[in-house]
Amino acid sequence: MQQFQKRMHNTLITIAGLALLAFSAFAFADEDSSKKLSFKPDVPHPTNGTTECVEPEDEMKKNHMNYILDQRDETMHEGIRTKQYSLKECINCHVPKDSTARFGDDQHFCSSCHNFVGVSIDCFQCHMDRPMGDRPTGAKPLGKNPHGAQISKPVSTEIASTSTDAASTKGSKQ
Amino acid sequence: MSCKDVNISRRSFVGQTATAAAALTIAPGVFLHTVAEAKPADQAVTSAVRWGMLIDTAKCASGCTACVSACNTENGIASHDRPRTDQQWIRKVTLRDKQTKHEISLPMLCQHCESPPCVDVCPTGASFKREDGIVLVDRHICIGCRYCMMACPYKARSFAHETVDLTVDYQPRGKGTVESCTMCVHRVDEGGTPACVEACSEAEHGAMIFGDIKNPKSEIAKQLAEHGGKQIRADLGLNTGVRYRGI
Amino acid sequence: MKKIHLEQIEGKSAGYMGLLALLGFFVLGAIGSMLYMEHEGHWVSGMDNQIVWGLPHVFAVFLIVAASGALNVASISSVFQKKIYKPLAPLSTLVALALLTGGLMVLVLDLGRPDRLIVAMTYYNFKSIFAWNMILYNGFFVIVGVYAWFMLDRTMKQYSRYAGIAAFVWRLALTTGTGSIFGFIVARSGYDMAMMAPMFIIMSFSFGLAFFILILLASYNGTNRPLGDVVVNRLRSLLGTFVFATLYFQIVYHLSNLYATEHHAYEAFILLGEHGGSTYSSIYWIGQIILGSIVPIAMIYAPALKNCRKTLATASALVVLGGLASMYTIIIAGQAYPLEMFPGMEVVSSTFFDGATSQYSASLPELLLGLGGVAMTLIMIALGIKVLGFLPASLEDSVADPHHKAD
Repeated sequence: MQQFQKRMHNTLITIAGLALLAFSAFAFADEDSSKKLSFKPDVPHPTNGTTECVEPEDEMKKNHMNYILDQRDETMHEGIRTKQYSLKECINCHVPKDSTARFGDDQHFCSSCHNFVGVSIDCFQCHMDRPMGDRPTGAKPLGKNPHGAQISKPVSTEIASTSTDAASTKGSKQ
Repeated sequence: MSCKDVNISRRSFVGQTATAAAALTIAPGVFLHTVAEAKPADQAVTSAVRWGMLIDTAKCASGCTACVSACNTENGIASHDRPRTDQQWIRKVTLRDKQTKHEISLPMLCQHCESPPCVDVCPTGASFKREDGIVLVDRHICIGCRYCMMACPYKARSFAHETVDLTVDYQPRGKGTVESCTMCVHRVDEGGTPACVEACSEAEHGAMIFGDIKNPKSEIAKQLAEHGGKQIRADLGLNTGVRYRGI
Repeated sequence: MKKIHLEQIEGKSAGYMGLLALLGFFVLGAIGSMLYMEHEGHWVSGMDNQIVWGLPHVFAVFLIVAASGALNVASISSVFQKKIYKPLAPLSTLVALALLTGGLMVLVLDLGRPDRLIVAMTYYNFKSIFAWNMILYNGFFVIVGVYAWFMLDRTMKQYSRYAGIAAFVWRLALTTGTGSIFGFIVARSGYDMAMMAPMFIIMSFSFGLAFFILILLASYNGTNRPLGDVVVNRLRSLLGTFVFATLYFQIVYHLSNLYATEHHAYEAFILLGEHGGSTYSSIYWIGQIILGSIVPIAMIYAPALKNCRKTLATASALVVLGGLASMYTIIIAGQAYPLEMFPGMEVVSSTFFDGATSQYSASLPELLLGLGGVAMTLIMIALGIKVLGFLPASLEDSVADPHHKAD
């Protein structure tokens, strides 16, 4: 009886091991047969001509999450809106304006790597994953008019902007 | 003193006077940006400024919803035809006095209190008040418990009950977090005014004024000093940033 | 009193397995409904921008309040040195922990962003009573766990009284915190009162004990272990006292409110059903007062029903039902009543339902979530008495009664 049980046990282990090996052959089944097996993600480069990021590539690979994390607290709680580590600016540069890829596709800049390493992020549940197109119809440009209600017609932004060197945004078109 | 020196000093004197004269001429047309200057992007906001609004209910037109439409357009808020769960950052309310039957209408939005109950009750600190008085929800740490919605005396907060279709990148919003009027902080930080205030002035009503309450030279401070401005639920002692005339 | 012998239940019968399967099914239902609500968004539930906390919270708060009350039996034995409750103390700690787990499960699964639970554990705003509650709930697990250990470990038994005192104090703080969640809200007419905290404490005594009695009766009945009348009658009269106390608090609450003209509108809403409150008023009167307080009191103190266990079980079940009705009244009716933003004025029109009483109808996902929490509690108790063996082998009079005289 003991002998039989031992043999049974061994047989089951062997079958399980073979099954595991067999299934592992399907591990790369969804990869393109034309693509070679690679161990690096296929990260698309910006199409607007820039070749350098705000920090060196290695630095960004290691620490981009920390830059974004610190910047988000500074912007949110202190109103510091510098562009260097702004998530919006990352997207504006790294994702082409007319891109059809959404976050989660391998062609999107962020998910090309995040899918590969299997690190999930929730930024794009709230943030836009591609540059904003034109402002929605009817939306006013980011006004330079602090006295909005005092006068009946808004003053042209040309006069308002002469005395300051306020950060120009893409919304300053009238 | 040589002639040369005098010439130079005279030239510079003329130049300086000319510049001063030009400045004095242009100055009235130029906004005194010391009042509501766009602060440099890398500078933190300070409590030297307190943003507020003054709403004159006498000028608020009963059927007009310009402020509501402007807010929705500006912040990318779309209606899902579900009025019970749709977000409303600002809404028009028409009231009638029970005794006198006098009717007024006014926009109701986050009052940006100085002692906000929503900030007190938020377990993670996601609901917070910025140094310059604007009350915001840090949606990165909001867990969606909706306690602030219960605590707000003005029902100013909305919960994102469904996936948001993002159309603007300066106002991120997402399902499962709480949101409310941000006083268009993305505009204010760059020296602008909230979309509702602009819309009201464009609609030729001018019922809403925005500005720095702490600056005695600002339009809003002058109007508050001259005509006063009442808080809704003043009995709670919250010292709201949004004041009303005519309630 | 003889030495009490705790024994694991066998737990192999078809009935027991069937019970676990049924409860497991409900727990899966809760998880499924949470996934559905989280994926689609909360618009699929009955909760909206007017009633932000709904049926899940009714269940969750009830379970949490009952959790601290269920610990009472153990506290009375350790803190107040009443020997008759001592054999019940380990079971009491198990029921308390199970109730809290069920309640917290429902609460966490209903969050808009349940994936951010770790944020809730690491970012604290210490002015928020909700944040304090998170610390109190987690601490409850630790302290009650230590208390149970001390009670059962021979070497630590001498310190069990101190652990019991610590647990008692902690549980009072926890219930005070839970009541203050509502008591600290200045905005709404139905809340904003200091009395919320003590009212919750007295309700916890009542609900927790009722739930404990049901568990006791069910498990002794189900395992055919002897349960004497002395223990049962003691618990019965204790429950009666607590239900009386709860009713007293309700009377004081309403009498004080009726004295102040500013509260008259809310009182008319909840007591008379005015201003669109007829549903809430019915639930209050029928659920909370009649079925939840008056009928149980009658059942408990009627001399003819003194030794009838079925009556006690029914009374306890009614107290539990009344407890759910109380939570419904407090949580949902409190939110349904409109905010009084403009005294002396009425709202003619508003797109955000200002000035209007909100009607609430619970949706199926919410109900499943709430029931799943109850099922989780029951599963933990069922598995606990099998694996940990907290159920005394016998509680017949000769064993359990400290004053028993041998015949």
